[in-house]
Amino acid sequence: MKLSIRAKLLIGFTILLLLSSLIQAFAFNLSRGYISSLIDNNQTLQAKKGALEIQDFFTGINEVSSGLARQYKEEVLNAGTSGSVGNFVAINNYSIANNEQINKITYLAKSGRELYKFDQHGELASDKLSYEVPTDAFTNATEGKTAISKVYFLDGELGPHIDIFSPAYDKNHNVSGVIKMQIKLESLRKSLENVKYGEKGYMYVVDNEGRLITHPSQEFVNERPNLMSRNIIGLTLQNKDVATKDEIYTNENKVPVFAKAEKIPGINWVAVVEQPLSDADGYLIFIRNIYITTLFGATILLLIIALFLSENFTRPIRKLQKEAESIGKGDFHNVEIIKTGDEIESLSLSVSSMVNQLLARENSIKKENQEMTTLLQSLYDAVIGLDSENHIIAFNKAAEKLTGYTAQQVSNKHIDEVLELHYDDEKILFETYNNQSSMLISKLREKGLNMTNQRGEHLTISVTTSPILFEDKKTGSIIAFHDMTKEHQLEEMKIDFVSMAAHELRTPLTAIRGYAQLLEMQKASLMDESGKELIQRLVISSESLSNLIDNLLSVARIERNKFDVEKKPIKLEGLINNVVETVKHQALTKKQELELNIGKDLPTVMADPFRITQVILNLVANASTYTNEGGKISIAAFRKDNTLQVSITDTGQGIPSEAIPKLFKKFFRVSGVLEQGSKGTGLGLYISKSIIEMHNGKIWVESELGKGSQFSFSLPIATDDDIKNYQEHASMDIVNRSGQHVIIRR
Amino acid sequence: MKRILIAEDDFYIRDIYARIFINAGYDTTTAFDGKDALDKIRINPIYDMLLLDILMPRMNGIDVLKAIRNLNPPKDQTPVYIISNLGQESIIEEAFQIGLDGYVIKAQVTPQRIVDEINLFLKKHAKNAI
Repeated sequence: MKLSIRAKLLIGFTILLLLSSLIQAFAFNLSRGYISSLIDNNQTLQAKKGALEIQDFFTGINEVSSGLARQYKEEVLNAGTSGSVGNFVAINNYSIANNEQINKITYLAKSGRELYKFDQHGELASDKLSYEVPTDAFTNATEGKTAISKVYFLDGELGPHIDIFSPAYDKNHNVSGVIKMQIKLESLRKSLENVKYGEKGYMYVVDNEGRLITHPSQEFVNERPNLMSRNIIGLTLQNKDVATKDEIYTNENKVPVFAKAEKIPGINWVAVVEQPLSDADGYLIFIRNIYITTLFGATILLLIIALFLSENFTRPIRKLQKEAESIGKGDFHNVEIIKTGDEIESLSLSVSSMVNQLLARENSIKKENQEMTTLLQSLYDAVIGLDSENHIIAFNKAAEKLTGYTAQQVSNKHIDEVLELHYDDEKILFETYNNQSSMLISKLREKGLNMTNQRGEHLTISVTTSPILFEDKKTGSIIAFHDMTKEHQLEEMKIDFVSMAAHELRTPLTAIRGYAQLLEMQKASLMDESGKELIQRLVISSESLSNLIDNLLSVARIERNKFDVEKKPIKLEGLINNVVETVKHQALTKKQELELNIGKDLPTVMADPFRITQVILNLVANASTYTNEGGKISIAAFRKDNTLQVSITDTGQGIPSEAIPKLFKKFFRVSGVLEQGSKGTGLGLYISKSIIEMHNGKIWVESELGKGSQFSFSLPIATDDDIKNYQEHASMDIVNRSGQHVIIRR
Repeated sequence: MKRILIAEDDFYIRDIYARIFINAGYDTTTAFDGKDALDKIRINPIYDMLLLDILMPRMNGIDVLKAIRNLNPPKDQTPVYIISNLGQESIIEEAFQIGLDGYVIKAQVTPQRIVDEINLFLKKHAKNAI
């Protein structure tokens, strides 16, 4: 997933926030539990406190009651009927006056008859005394147990009342009667008002039957409600566990409240501390609000920080990114250093130095490129650059001039689409002239290729190609064209001139030769020896002039590709023997030894006997010419691999090594041997080479200065196919009128 | 004695051929060009052998050959040799198709070689005729 740094930061912060809110929520829950239990405990404590208050209230009453019981025993029972009860009355009156909660005190006989009765006004007259209704509480008291009556209300008096029945004992420690004290619970309410809880918390008390005994609101008490419907009361009375849900109920004012109850031991009443739920939860809500507020604040703060930080982080990165993008597009400007003092600064430093290096490198490449372009454009020869697919990628001015195309026109075109080169009538493709090993290539170099350019000019060009290698892989080629047209035309003119001159010379020469022969044939016998010698010299000279002219014409024909060979299967032995016969005379006059080493069963070759004779004759005649008197000339013919090789070895003066490469070129003669005689024309070896090459053979020389030379040529041995082919085509030969095959010598 | 007609426009060469053939015992007639040769053949068709140069003014050797081979009737069957120069191979080829008996290349042979060649040819020709 692709996310910007800002998004990642924001996500990170969000996760942080979520975690912290989870922790907060957990902490809140913990504290809520703690606070709840705190509130809970506190309220319970208050309830207990209330219960104690009530117990104290009753303890106080009991103390009064037991004091009165003692007084009653001593003053009334022990004294008997004779004694005065004045002290006893005074104590009772005092007790009522000083104990607000005591409304009445009544002394009862076990039968229930009222014996004495005191109220706020003092002792009641005996005629106002009556009988007590024997309630459970009264009965309990007669049995020695202090008991409390049910709550009851008195007309015209505020609040409920109860009666407390306590047993009164005689000196024998028997229950002689019961002391009944009427208690105003109004006073209990007052003392319970001190029990406060929180803002609005208060306490109320119900008796064992659920009747409301005290409540801060007197009116509610006066309504005399039974609050047993509040589960908390019933459950507490039965000493059962009170669930939290039972501690919450809606009170008489329809306010949801939270309550805690405590059973008062002994009297089985229940003290309940009640406070509005809103108050109980108020604290929690307050804490929750603090949590929420801090969380919200923290969120906003974190967001701001995250935005600020991410902006701070990403601004330099974005800046660097923009720089990098423009660098990628080739805009090598100076990169501004981002001063953040951190990794980004060092990154921008690296980028900057990288750009500087790139810039330097680009400049040097540009410079080199410019140099190369200038070099290329200023070349006189046409230069074309090709890619690996042989499409044109460079085309210099000379190339434009040569072809008539502009560089734009040919850009990315295949070379063969642009340049149509011909050799004779054959179209030569790039594949061919690029093939360095091709047999054709040297010929093409030498003779040039024909081409018609866009302006319709016919040109002769020579082509050189070189591959462009990059890490040993060919990535393209460079073709250089040299316009040979003028040279070629000059060459043609030269050949034309030579050819024409030779032809023109021939007719008078033929006449000279004819007359010389006639003279030799018909008149020599009439002459003396010196006349005969003169005639002989005339014949020989005219003969050699004729040979020279023949050679010149042959060269002209070779140059024009009009020199043909008529190949047929032949054996070379006969030819060699003929040559030996021809040169025998010359060799004899120079006292040279002629040696023949012809192998047995020489293979047949496809050759033109006339031309090959010409070659052998030329080589042997040369050997004889350049070998001193008494030297030795050997002619060897033998099979070598798939060729038939002929070697002519002499013991002549040899050829300087620097002359060897030029030996087979036309008009070349080894300097320093010019004086040897007029025989050499510098054409013989050139013609020989041409003839051998037309036979797909090879001709070469090995020589050592002062020791002699060896000229050799080899011809491919005729295959059965060659012979068969020849025989099939022989029938197409020209025949004369007598039906004989005629070979026309060309 | 064999009768030979030699057509050659160059005076000296004609002279040499005439001398050498006379010397060899031929009844020799010369013509200075093709037209002259054809006229001579038409007027007096008695020759055993014709020797024609190729390049001659007015009428060349090939046209002479064509003309005599097409003489009507009867077709002239006189053997014809052409004396040619180098570089005329295609013309010789054409001549053989018209009905040539042989050719010699002027520059490559001596006049005596031509006589020898003609002698040999006529000897063979005579044998074939018998």
